[in-house]
Amino acid sequence: MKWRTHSVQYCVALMALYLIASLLIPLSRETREAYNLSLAQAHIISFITILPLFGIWFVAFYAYGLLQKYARAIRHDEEGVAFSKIADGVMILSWGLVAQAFASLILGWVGDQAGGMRATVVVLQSYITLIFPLIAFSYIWSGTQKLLGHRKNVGSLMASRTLLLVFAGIAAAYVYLVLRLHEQSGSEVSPLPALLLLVTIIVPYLFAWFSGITAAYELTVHARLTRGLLYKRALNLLAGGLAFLIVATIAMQYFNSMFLSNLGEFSINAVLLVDYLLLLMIALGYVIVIAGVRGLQKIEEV
Amino acid sequence: MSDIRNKTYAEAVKISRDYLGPAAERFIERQVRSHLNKDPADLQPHDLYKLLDWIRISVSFLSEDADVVEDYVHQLRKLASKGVNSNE
Repeated sequence: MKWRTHSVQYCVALMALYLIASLLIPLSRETREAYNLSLAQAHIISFITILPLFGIWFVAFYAYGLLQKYARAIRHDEEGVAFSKIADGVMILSWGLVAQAFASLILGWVGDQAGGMRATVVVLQSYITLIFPLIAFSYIWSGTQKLLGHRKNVGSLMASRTLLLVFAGIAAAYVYLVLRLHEQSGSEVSPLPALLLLVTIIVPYLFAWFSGITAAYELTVHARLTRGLLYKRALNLLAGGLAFLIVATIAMQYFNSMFLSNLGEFSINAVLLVDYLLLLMIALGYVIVIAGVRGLQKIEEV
Repeated sequence: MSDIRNKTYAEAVKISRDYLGPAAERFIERQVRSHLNKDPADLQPHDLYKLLDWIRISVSFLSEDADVVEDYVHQLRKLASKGVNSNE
């Protein structure tokens, strides 16, 4: 599809739109009150946070554009279908970054204007943050499954067990902390009843993370098993970058759902520092993906 | 993809897989079509001699490691001479 080749143009258009929106819409009253910020201070903070955000959007859109170009170049091969799925997954993940930023801005403002809608806003924001990675990781996972093909049980048992143990630990801690926060703070964390929170937020998050972690693992296994000295170097970079990107995205979601619900308890510097560190990790993941895809694309061009 | 039943072509792809993995067949097919203007199914061992320089240049773009490039070209040259000798 032709529109797929215009990822960077889409990104620039979205940046312009977001810039205009953020100048018109200030930070939500809730956030301003949590940190005692005036309206002018809130505008300055918005502007400061926009620049790195735009940098991340750019590398994300550039990376998925390159991945789609590569998938098209090898579309007649078995690997072409797999890379196409992975590229679509990275595209959804990239659009998710933009959607979350827009949702946070617009829904925050809606919540400010209509006090009675705050609960709806919180729920909507939770679902928007969840839905993109959920679909994206499923696509990437189905791509890595296709890449591995008949070699599905090739990872070591030790590695699989370690992976499962790590995931079980993350999942248990997440369920415990979210439900405890929900019990202590009630509707501040989520206006949803505990059961609905468990079924529609926690379980889908855990499924998304499991898909993401498994996909990252399978990609590294595929890179390890693939023949070809020069091909392997580029593939290792791509697999490493995607794995890094997935883990960083999961860490970001974990951080957001665990700590941003308790905004006032942490200093703004600490929240911004962790937030930026995680965004930097996501950007680094995309940059490594770009380096890997460029290497693979070069092989198809010489 | 081209006719892998051509023995020279199949051997060239096999050697290339050690360097280019799953991209090997596409690479050799591209080289044969663009530099020899031939269908890969018609590739003859002596054609490989004409391709060696092109392949050396192409692979040099992918790796700065001269040993890797020369090793790859050497393997293909061996295939070319083996094929030509067996035809004689």
